[in-house]
Amino acid sequence: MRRAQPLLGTFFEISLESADKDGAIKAIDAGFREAKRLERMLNFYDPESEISRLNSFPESPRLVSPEVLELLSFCCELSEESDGLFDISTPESIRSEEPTMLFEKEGVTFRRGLKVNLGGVAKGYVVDKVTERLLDYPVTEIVVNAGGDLRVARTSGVPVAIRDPREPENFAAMINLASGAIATSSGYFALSTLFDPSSNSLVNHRDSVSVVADSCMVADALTKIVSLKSPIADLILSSYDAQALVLGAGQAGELTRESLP
Amino acid sequence: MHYLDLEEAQKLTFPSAQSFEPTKTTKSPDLKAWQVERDGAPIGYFFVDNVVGKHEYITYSLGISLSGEILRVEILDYRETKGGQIRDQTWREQFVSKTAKDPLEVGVDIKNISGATLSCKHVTEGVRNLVQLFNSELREAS
Repeated sequence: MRRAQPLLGTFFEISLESADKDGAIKAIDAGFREAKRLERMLNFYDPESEISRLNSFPESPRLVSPEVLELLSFCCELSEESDGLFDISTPESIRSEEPTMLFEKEGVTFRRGLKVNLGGVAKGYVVDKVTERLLDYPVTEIVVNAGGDLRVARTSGVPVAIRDPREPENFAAMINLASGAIATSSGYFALSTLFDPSSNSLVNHRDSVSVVADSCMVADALTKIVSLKSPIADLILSSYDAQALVLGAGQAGELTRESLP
Repeated sequence: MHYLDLEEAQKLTFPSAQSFEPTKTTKSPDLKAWQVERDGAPIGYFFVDNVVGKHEYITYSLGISLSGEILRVEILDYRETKGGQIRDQTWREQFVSKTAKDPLEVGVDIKNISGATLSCKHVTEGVRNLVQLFNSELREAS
């Protein structure tokens, strides 16, 4: 059974198999409920979300849900490991040498001037959490796909197509995913720009970068680092046990492919 | 990709409903709309609408309570308006360890796509328009 709802600004799709139809519906509904619950917490554009509260009230500790804590901790860890290439702070944040946030038992404290937007990693994270929720049910062949950020569980192998960045209505690569996740980031369909902290500017993003990792949160986050074509991308991919496939257009318009690391 | 039939979407949105009575609005006479009833009394409204984006064609449903609260949005059909071909067959990528051992079959059906897909902005706008339509025409009637 496969269903989709508009969530997180994209089409959030859950697909699974179950011995009976009611069981499938029950599991899928639980999955969508979990996605909505997390969307309320992480939505940068909702002033009531936990993230917005953190953004609005820096310099004092705020208690947050374990999910927000988990995601923020990962982002800080990856930011440090990538020497700031991965960066959830918004372009309007005031630059500072101080540590961005403190994690204590009283809560999370943002430093003065910090605002974060989890858009670059929230979809992947929600996909992971929804998958975990679905695993509580007697279902198999689980595929959770939020606008192309995809995770599979209890499957015998799921074919996943990757679009051709030169003509995105067609497909240029196919992988067979037995477990784990894949996230693809690119500029086709919507002109996409990435903020490159090293040059402090926006860069156009025409290649398609797909990252395969154990979790969708990691896959999603790592597409940003690989897209910036940094020399440390190989190291970061290895340290997270992830791999990347970069598709692009060559001089003569031919399809180019590069696997990392 | 076909997700739901009309009846399935109706049942999911209003599980306790006993009937769906087709109804028409003045502003959008072609819009598929139903007044939802249980025990002879209305309990809400159900709409099926289409949005056409630059690359896609989407059929979705919306259930609204009598007080105008959005109960449920479901995607019934999602169609990409062109393409969908796999061009050549030498590009089956083999990622280590997370990928299944069996080779992919030729002509495999594309059901799962990883790739920056389209935003659901059009659907969200469509939903907003339907809520406005409900508020201006149907709310007083119930």
